[in-house]
Amino acid sequence: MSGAPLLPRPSRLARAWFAARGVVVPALTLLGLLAAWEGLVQALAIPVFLLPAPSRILEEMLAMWPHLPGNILATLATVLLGFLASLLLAVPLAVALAASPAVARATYPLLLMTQSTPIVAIAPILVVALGTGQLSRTTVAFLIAFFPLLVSTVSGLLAVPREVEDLARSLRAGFWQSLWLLRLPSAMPFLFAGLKVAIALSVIGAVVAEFVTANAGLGYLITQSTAFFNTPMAFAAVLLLALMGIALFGAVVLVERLFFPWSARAGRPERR
Amino acid sequence: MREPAEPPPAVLLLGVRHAYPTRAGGELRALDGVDLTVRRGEFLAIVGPSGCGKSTLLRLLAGLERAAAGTVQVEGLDPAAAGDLVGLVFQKPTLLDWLTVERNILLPVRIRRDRPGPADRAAARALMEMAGIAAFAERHPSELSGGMQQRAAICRALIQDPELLLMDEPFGALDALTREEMCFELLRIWSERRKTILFVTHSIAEAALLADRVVVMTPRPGRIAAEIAIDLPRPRRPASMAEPGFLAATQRIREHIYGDAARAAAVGTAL
Repeated sequence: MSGAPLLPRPSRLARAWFAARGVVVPALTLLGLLAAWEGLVQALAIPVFLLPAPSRILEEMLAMWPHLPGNILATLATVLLGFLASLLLAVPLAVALAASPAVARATYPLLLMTQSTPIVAIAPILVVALGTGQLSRTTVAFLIAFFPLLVSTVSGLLAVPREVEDLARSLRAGFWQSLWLLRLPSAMPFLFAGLKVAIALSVIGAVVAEFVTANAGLGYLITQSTAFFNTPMAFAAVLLLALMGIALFGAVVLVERLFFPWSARAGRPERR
Repeated sequence: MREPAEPPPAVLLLGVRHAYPTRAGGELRALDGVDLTVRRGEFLAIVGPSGCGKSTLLRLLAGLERAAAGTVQVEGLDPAAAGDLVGLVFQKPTLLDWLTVERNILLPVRIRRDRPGPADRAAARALMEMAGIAAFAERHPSELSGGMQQRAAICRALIQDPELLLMDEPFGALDALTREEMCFELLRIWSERRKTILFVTHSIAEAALLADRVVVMTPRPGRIAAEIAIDLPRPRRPASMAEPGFLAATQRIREHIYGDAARAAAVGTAL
């Protein structure tokens, strides 16, 4: 009696299904939606400039293929520059804000103000001030990504457990030692939460910037193609933007898993 | 090396007073008129209910806070200057998740001096062997049980070979069985590396089992109510807890904590 399994062992097929259903189910849903879209557009004979069928979007994308890499790279450059700038400014400022209540009092209202102002509204003004080049576009992407990253990094630095603070002080660790060896690593899960939001927002910022001033990029492609009622091209550009956003988000997750495994563990519920 | 005629005691407290400001604008008197001398190599336990200032006492000795009044000395030095002479163990292991167990143990070396050298690594190895966690050297703290984590924390406190080990309810977060096991582990470690230990606990049995002398404190403001010498032969074993010396000591500690009520109860059971 003892040792006999209470439940029959799942078949090989059942186990394969358990492993794959996380991918298969959403893929099937997506395919179903696309099929319905295609069928509806065909059945109701909706004009292509109003709502193109998925097949038309794909067709247009393939036709435009030679022009796409340049536009993708232009947008990617704005996204990455804005994201990097927000990282390079937010982390040191977060350290200053967390270390000094005086700095926090002096700058927080200002920061809140820049955050409550719609960046879309500032973008044209920035173009006047900074010109129509890459600098304006990077600044818009930076402004949109910066604040959430700052807030989560400050939270992380302030969430260092009291015992860790006591440990640092009992070892007479200096400010920089304590920051580098204890506080920053301990804030990593928060920092990465901020980075995941920031990379997604950088894509939005880059597109907004390209709406206002650009001569290349996926956002620019959207304004250009809608101006000529080339709706399939606009849809294709949106699709590429979504894919870019997902890929960049995945890259941030990958960096966290590879280089900061404890942070990735802390951000996930316990498995098994 | 200067060698004074009479070496200073490991810990000297004279008329120590300390208070914390409250939100209402008043102050909470944590310690009031505490006098205490701890000999070198002595194992001293401090027992008392919550809020009796026993943790404050350790914080003063660790240099985490400065006493409002009175003298606080560690090995004849101001605690602020005695950093390397003191090892600290908290209730939580407080290990850093992003470092391996060995690197956690070497953290004080990294902070106080520089990158740990081969000699430091050998010292860490020896400590891990002694504490029975050598197999976990390259593991991360989250992979260890609570008891193993606290052993690593004790190794970290010992890595700089301090004279004084301050332990603030170090086994308070462990289950009862692990707790007892850790007590005997600590006694073994103490017999191998003769340090002065100040052990704060609110377990009367733990205090009596471990210490040479138990200090009982009363709350608000924290004062020393009694000092009780534990007359129990060493090395102490699980069987020590059944000896008359142990039972007498725990009873006396209880009397000082609960007052006459405990004495009456003791008379009741004796009859």
